[in-house]
Amino acid sequence: MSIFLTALTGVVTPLSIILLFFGVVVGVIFGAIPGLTAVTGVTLLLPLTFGFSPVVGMSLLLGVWIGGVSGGFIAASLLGIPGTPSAIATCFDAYPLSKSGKSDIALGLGIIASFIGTLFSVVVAAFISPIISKIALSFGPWEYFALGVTALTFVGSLAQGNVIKGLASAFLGLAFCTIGISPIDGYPRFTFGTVALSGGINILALVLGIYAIKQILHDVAINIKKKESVEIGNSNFKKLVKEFEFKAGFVNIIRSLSLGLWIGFLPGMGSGLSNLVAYSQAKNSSKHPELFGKGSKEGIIASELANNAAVGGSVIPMLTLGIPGDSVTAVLLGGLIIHGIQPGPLLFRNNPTLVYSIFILMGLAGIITFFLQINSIKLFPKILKIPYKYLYSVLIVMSFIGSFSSNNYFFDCIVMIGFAIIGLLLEFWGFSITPMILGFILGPMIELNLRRGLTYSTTGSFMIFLQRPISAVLLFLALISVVFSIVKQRKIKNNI
Amino acid sequence: MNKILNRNHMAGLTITVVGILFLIGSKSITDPELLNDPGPVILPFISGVGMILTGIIIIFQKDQKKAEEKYDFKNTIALFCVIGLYTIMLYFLGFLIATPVLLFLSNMIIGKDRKNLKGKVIFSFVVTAIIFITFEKVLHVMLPSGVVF
Repeated sequence: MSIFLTALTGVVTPLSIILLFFGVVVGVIFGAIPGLTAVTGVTLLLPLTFGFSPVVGMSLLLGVWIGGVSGGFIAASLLGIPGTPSAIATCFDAYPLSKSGKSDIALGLGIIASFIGTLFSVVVAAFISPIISKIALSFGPWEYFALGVTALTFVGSLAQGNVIKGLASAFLGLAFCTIGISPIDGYPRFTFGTVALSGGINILALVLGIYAIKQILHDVAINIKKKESVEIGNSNFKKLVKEFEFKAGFVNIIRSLSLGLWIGFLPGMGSGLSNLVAYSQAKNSSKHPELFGKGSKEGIIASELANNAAVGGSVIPMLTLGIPGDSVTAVLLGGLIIHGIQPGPLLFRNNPTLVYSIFILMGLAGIITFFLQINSIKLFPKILKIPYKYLYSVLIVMSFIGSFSSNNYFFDCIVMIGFAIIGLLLEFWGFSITPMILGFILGPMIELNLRRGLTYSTTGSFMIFLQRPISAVLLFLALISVVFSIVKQRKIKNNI
Repeated sequence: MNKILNRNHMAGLTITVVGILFLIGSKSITDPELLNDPGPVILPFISGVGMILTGIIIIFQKDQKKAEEKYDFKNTIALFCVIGLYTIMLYFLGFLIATPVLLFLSNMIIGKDRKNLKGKVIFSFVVTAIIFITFEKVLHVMLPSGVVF
């Protein structure tokens, strides 16, 4: 309790609250505009945090994240286009509901569901995380190696798209992380004798290249255009709460929250998948499945509850194990490392105040997002009218500033452009990019623990990883996930 | 060329070649000094082998027919060239000179219009000034000053 109160007093400072609010505003805008996402917003604003303490810096980034995930439903409801991948399923029913003259209800349901999803998942994460971190403290290098490999194979094989391409993407990420100085013995690898590459590839330059520059080039290539937004009718808060139907939809609410939390916890999944799974479950269990796709409130609620519940779920492995749950937590993890903080089980022991500060900030971000959105519903169509030519031009500049400012090293700007090209090629060829990012981030942990684990073996044999029960189970799960995904893909191909 | 080499062929070949390069590069990495430690060669080796195997499989995979996509290559390449120009100008001339040029040109390319040039120029300079003041003066984040100056 005392740690919680200490964290609370550290968080509730004018600067933290102002940055949290600013982050939420930016996040909602990024989430609302198709083509931009929470991960782009977090990546672009990360350099702004360098001059602040970790808690203050995180207040900005967490505000962007939660605002961004919540904001995705705005374009889904008013344009029929998901603002972010986390709002794909929301589109199916929010847009038809809006077009039938009930845009206020569609938006209101999204706002309330987002709020409940975020708060629920943060509270659960705050209670579960200390337990998981205590278990993780008993892990040795074998378990950490197995965790890293399992996380990577989950991402590579269960993420959308071709399984083999997902694994290739993961191996590419692992390869990139070897550039620089090796762990344990400090041996320079693939540096070609240059100082520029001795420090390895800058994570910020990599993510800015992939998520910002590449995205802008991609949107220009596909001629992304503005659509006309649906008009918003008048409504009041009491009516919106009544429309939520808490009693009648109780089972749907609990199921969607649970699904979102669990899927968010699994590495590589996140809100992009949770909203689709929760939606399909809601449809399968509904008394009126024929209404889905035509403006079903159940569908909107399921999707938005799950995608926001995934937020808390994905922060659990990030903080307790140092393994990102999705792309945003991968960038947040990079941000914490840049601030000199190593997420993992030791974080709870060495810096519990920071951990609880993060949970408190997430909860506050959820509350701020809720009140901001409820009171600014009428402004939503205006957000969607910001011309891409102005927005993207500024984003390009911000990306360069971000790449340069982390090390004051111009070479990082060139790295950023290089990864934009790599990202474009991978996307054009049908590869998922998330496995590459996770491979890059998890690579050092995987290598360090593989080498440490093998030094404990009397024969240097890999069998030592299979002799430890937890490690063996995790590696078995990794294998199963790959085999299962390949079999499933073959079945789908044969049925086409 | 497109009929001989489809997307999967190109993707698989590229991944395989990158894997081979990493394997070749890993040959020059030294042997470990610690007993049973595979040394700094292990991860480049695993990545290289992984890429070669997956790359070869991808070459032989059937290319999934995507819906006909129309890409605006002309504007994309133009924007990419502008970004390249910005990189060079940023390095040599610094933020204050390079940024208005980028903002002006990218505005024209992304917006696909050459109207209201005066407005675009004002936008370019005003935004540059705002970003410069915010980062350099308020947040004390250093921006590139250019090697020439």
